[in-house]
Amino acid sequence: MDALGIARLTEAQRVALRYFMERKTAKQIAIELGITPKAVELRLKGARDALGVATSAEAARILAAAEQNIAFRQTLGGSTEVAEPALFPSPSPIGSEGGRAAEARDRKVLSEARTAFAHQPLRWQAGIGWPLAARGEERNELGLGARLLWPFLAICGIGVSIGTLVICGSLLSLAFVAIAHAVG
Amino acid sequence: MWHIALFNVLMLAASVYALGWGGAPERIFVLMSIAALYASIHVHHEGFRKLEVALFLVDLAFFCALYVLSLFSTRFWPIWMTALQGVTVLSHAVILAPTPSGSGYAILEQFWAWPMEMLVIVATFRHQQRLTLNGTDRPWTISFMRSERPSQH
Repeated sequence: MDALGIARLTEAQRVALRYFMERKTAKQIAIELGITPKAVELRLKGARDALGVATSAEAARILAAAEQNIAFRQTLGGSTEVAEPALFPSPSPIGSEGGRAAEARDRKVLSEARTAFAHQPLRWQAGIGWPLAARGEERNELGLGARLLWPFLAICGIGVSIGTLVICGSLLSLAFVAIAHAVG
Repeated sequence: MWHIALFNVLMLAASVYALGWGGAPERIFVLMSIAALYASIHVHHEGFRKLEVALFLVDLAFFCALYVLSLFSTRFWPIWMTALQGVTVLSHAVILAPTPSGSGYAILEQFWAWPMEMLVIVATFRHQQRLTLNGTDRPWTISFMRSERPSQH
């Protein structure tokens, strides 16, 4: 249910949660954003309701975990930068709508988020890049040249590593033999 | 021959895991590796006393197939899988050494299948992690013909 809850969060709620994650109080967040502490509390409460958790710390942890996945964050409209303070929309009135209508809306939100996530356009890396998944970004976005080249570079790397190991092993065994002769 | 039995268990476990829980590239890899294993068992063997031409051709074909997979995949692991298979292909060159060792040739030729099977297990595990976290995984193929470059958007 985390993905659905995160999809429901407004940008204002996310900003408040990010500040909360930095161990700032509602008053400090309010000063940062130029809004009242009451408005901050409302944003945090809206976020807690959207994520279905009891504490703001838990809500902030869930958002932080989701935002570690950069692509997911971009899809759902978040940002690592602190966004401009926005007018706080009222929290999703989950309980105030009919059960079926709310469920249908939730399904639609989740479906849209997942579709956008799955079909996010590929962003090609400039240069050769590294053929390794970065934290939060697991998609291979290497260009054609890098894709053509990397298997052969990796073969060379593996070959050199194995060759070095063999040479070091041989030298060590020769050294042991020499020491054994000297001692004997 | 305990190492052969152990490898068979590893390959069986990796294949079942990848076919059952993996994405399309993991399944494609398993099918290709099973085909390569079948071919390598049934081709003519020289007992590793001289160049295993048929085995070399099977390894080369598997390398080419993995190379194509790595070109079109949005995963990183096919690149490393291709590299490991490339080392397997190159290992046939040890028979050209002045004093070639048959057992050394056999070990080098077969060794790299171990990390390849372990890698597909890790790839399947990561695929499952993404499914758990995001509810879905991205398409595994890219098309160089599609207008996906930022300049074209």
